[in-house]
Amino acid sequence: MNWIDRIVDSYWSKTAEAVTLPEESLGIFRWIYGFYVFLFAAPTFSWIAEVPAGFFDPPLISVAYLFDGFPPGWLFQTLDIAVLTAVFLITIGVKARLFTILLIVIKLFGLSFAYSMGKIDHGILENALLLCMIVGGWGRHFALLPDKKLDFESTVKGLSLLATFISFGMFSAGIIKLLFWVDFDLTTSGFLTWYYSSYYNFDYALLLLPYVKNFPVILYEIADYTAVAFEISGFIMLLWSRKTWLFWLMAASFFHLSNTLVLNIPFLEHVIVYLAFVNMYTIWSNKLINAGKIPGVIISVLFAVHIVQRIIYSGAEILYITNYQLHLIANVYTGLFLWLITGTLLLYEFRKNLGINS
Amino acid sequence: MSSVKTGFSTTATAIIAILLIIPFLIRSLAPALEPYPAIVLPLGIGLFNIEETEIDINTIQIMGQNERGEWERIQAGNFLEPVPPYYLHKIAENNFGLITQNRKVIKTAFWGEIQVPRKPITDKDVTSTKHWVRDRLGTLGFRDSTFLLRRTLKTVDLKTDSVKSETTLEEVEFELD
Repeated sequence: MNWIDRIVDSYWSKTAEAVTLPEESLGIFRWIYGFYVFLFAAPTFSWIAEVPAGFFDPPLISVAYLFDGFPPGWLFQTLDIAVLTAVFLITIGVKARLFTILLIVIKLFGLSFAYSMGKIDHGILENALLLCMIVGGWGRHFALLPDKKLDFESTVKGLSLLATFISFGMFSAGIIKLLFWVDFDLTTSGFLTWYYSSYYNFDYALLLLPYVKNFPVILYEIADYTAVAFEISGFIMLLWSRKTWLFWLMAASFFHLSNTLVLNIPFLEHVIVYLAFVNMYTIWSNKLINAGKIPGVIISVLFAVHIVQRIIYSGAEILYITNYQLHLIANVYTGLFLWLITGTLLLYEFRKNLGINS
Repeated sequence: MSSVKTGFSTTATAIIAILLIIPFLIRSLAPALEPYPAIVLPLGIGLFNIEETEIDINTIQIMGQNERGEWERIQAGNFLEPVPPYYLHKIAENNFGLITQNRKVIKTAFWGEIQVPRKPITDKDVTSTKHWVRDRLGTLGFRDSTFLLRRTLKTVDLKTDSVKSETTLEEVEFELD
């Protein structure tokens, strides 16, 4: 084994210690993923069919750039139905591995066109999660037709890869901010650029957004340094120990909660990504088993309502709300609710690892 | 614990690292060239001067002509629906797809502004986009022959939260006939 192999080995061993969970946990997490998607993050692509050809400006390096324009509407409508069907089958555990691969392909294809108007949204970790769940083998437990274990599958590998993606993603946002925001100058604030962007560009000002400009100046500076420190420290916390990694994830949840409160930016996409690290087996296994067919019936109803909605109308991402303004407001309040739950679950997991019974 | 059981081989790790780092470097050097998919999260690195008692905000407004021929502001969400309204700045940079082009100018970290190829907007694309915009303007109760893109600089007093002044920086009228 040469020195490179030793570094690689050491990296994955350290991350494994930080993320280890029983493999059944991912089986329960799969159900939570299904409920999360159907209630708060149902992908819709059929709207792209209504976008005029002149708006087509795909990223130079993307699948969409291989095309000369937006594909026909029937394709996006088919993708809408296919993506929902894949999520449904993954949730109940029918060929979860196969349908997760299909889901990744459909989402990346559809989103390539959704981001072909000059602007890329940054919900990529939600899709990276799916790849990690294939590696983690999330289709093996609490499934109607469980996947057989393959050689490459390992819960720890999947979660280590996800932790690496999260840490790198956060680092990619924080490292450039470090150069600009950490200036030890109380007369400048990076946080306020986000704030005023929200305050004067949104058609709404919810929760604490209208009051932030009355906060003491020192809080703006603290917000800058906290954001940078948090974003660039993921790898350190991951490699330090399981406790520090869980603490970082918990801090991340409360970071997003505060962004929801003061900036009205909930970044819901990360809720489900962080929840993958909570030991769902100890929390939910008995409840899920005792619930019998009830979760299956509920998820079938949620799926059916989406299908009907898409056939009748164009579908909705959050809580079946089709009105765009209402959707934006629901997004903020949903963020408040989900980040509180996520932060609390990670706090529970963190305290458990400290040996504190809550 | 050995990585054989818990992690990835050195080759697989190198591939993962390359797939993470290269898109990150591209985005850092030229944000407009950010690939998709790529594991990068939003930058947002601007700084605001707290000593100032006012703030200058660049806005983009879409104006339509009402029946009396007066220019009236159209909400971006209504004009662009189903496209998210926060895509407006990029679509406006793109002249709403109403001018044929096959290159675009982007900003880079070290080389200033450079020209890169973009998917061509053809005469046929312009015609169909004009048709789409005309339909939209008509539906919203405006004259369907023209609309205006107005870039303004709005100065807001931070204490009173009121607009002190609004200067028009640029107006571009798009004829749709």
